[in-house]
Amino acid sequence: MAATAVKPLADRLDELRDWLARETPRDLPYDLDARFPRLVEWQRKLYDAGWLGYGWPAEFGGNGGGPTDKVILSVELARAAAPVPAGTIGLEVIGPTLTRFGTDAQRRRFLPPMLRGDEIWSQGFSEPEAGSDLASLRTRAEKVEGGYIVSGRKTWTSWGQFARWCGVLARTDPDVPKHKGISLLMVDMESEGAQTFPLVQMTGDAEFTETLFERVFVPDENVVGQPGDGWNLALDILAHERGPLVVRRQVEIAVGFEGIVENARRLVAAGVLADDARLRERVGRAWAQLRMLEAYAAGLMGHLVHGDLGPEASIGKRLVTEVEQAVFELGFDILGASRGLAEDAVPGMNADKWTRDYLYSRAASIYGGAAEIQRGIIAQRVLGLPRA
Amino acid sequence: MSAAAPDYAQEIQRSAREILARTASTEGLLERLRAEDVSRGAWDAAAQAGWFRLLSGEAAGGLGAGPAELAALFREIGRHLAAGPWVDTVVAAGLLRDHADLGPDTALIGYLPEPGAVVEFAAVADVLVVRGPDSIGLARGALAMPLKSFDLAGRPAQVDLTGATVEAVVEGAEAERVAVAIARLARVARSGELAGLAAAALDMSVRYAGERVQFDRPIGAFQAVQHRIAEMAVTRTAVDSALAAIVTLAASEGTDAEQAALYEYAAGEARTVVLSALQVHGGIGFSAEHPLHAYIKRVLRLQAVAGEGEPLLDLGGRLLAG
Ligand SMILES: Cc1cc2nc3c(=O)[nH]c(=O)nc-3n(C[C@H](O)[C@H](O)[C@H](O)COP(=O)(O)OP(=O)(O)OC[C@H]3O[C@@H](n4cnc5c(N)ncnc54)[C@H](O)[C@@H]3O)c2cc1C
Repeated sequence: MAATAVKPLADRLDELRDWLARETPRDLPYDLDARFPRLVEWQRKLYDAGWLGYGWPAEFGGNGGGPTDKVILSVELARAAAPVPAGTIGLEVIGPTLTRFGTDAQRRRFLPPMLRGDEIWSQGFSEPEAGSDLASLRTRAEKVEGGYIVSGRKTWTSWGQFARWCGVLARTDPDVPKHKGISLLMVDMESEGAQTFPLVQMTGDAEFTETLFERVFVPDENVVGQPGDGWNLALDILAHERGPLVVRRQVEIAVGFEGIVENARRLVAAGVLADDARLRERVGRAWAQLRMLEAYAAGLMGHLVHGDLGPEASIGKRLVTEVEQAVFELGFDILGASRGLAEDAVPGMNADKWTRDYLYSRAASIYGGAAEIQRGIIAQRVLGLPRA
Repeated sequence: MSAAAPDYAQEIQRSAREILARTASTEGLLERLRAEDVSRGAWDAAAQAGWFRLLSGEAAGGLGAGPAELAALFREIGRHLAAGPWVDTVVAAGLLRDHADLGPDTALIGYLPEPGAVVEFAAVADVLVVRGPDSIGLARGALAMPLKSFDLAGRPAQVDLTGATVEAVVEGAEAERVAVAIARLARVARSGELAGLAAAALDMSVRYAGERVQFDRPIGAFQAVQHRIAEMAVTRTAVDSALAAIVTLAASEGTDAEQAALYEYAAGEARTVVLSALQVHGGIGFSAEHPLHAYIKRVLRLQAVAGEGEPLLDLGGRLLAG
């Protein structure tokens, strides 16, 4: 069990860094099915050592602590190039929502196993016909005695195949305007009628699923907030995940950049990459973008202490996406004739990894609200331009 | 460098905004820039407010502020497009006042960092400070030859020191230390100016897009225009964040190459913002009667000032060399 009433995480950074240097698993298999159980173990280890409970209420399995503790932990994990824990969607998306809007009974039931990694969560928002226009979602939740019957199809559900629980947005009231009739339900994926079908991404990994609900019963106590609150909860979730994402991702990109520079040296030494003005300029520019982003993230930490970033978070999301895509494009381009190969022509060049990272970076302007949607939010809700 | 409280920068910003709104209003900006080389009202108010001793130590009657305060001040100077030798007077002279008597606070100061450099407002400067091989001194009898410029807010000149006498005020290692500090803090000041110019261009664009009607609606209701302006806001944030990084680097040792690289980056991003503003404004933005071109040209000049060498490229080379 995690200790209670511990020192603030910010005062234990040296200790945390030492621990991570010792304990971070370095030999994880790439294959997702083999990798996943190791990520669960890793989460458990982080929890048992008392790190993962930071920023979570002490009465529900956490250590207490301030709102930035979670971000500090994720930054230190990124800095140590440690894997993200298996239950990251629960930890970053559903858990914070339950903490803010759940009932005590829900928190007591769901938070401790979520923190320990005993129960993995997924986020079932998008549907084949409802991506950017999420509010037009069609998954229905019909009211019955003691609960709801959920029917519909979700898609691109990250880690869906491993999830015991799925936070599902479903239409509970078809007779009101589309934003008003949506609710957030916690669906037990072991229920009769719930099924997932892994979908392979362009990187080659089956990191998300189609998620099918055929008349799945969900008890009343598994509705988050009030019925009809779903849309506001979804907006709240998206706005809250953006800030911490920027802070963590910024460090991950910086770690990626170090690997890219190291690889560039290797490729230059092997005579397959020219150390010319074009390369130097791109490396220098990527470095400057990262320093810019680091300064932005430092400013963000101050805001996160106060909780909400509001629509401004969309600016951060755009910035981090731009930098991520520029950096990993550089990592890909230096592979030269090996771009897109999954095997190495030069020992150690890791063409497979850098190609995957590049491809994955292209998703950054799609998930969590596509770039165009972010621009719309910035234009209308930050700058106050008129609605079309 | 500075023991000032963090909200000191905010205080400076507030007061600068208030003073400049009064003395260098952007209403009638072009008339102001045409009428006088130096925005005199702003300059005199600045002297009174102690801006020219912002960086000076307490012994010289200064405020002992640091890079964060400097950045806040220059953001407002950029935003208002106040004309004058602000960088050299606040930074170079501000630091030198600890070592020498440079006359009244209202004096216009030019700083020549190396022979042949272009110095803004050298032709109207009361005092010309010169960095020599082993000293920093005050030049008398130097010849300043104004260079015509597209920039409405700067008055560049070439300085000829033939026949001038230079009286050293700081020498040896101390001169080197001061010169390095001047270079770093001047970069902070110019980055602040860039951030202010980008912010002003964004504000103008948001306002114009809400007012200008085409096809029976404000152009800001068109998604293509909205998305362009949204990206301006993103890029403007990049300039601000680069400024914050430049401020941080100003206080650490041995980081000139990094700071210079970030300046080049920030200037490029600011340029993107002001050019997008031009696109949003259409033909009126291209007309000399509209003030936008003054912002654009100022950014282009500030970017050119960073043109000594190629800092991003150099830094990339260093990183690759390991
Ligand atoms: C790697 C990855 C992981 C994901 N994980 C999850 C998950 O765990 N849970 C989940 O629920 N979802 C997840 N998603 C789905 C993601 O949220 C959606 O892909 C995203 O919201 C975009 O929806 P869409 O794919 O239907 O694209 P569409 O909405 O069809 O958009 C297609 C294109 O049209 C543009 N467009 C759409 N509407 C407008 C408009 N009004 N104005 C201008 N342009 C517009 C978009 O910007 C985009 O470029 C994931 C996606 C990816 C790529």
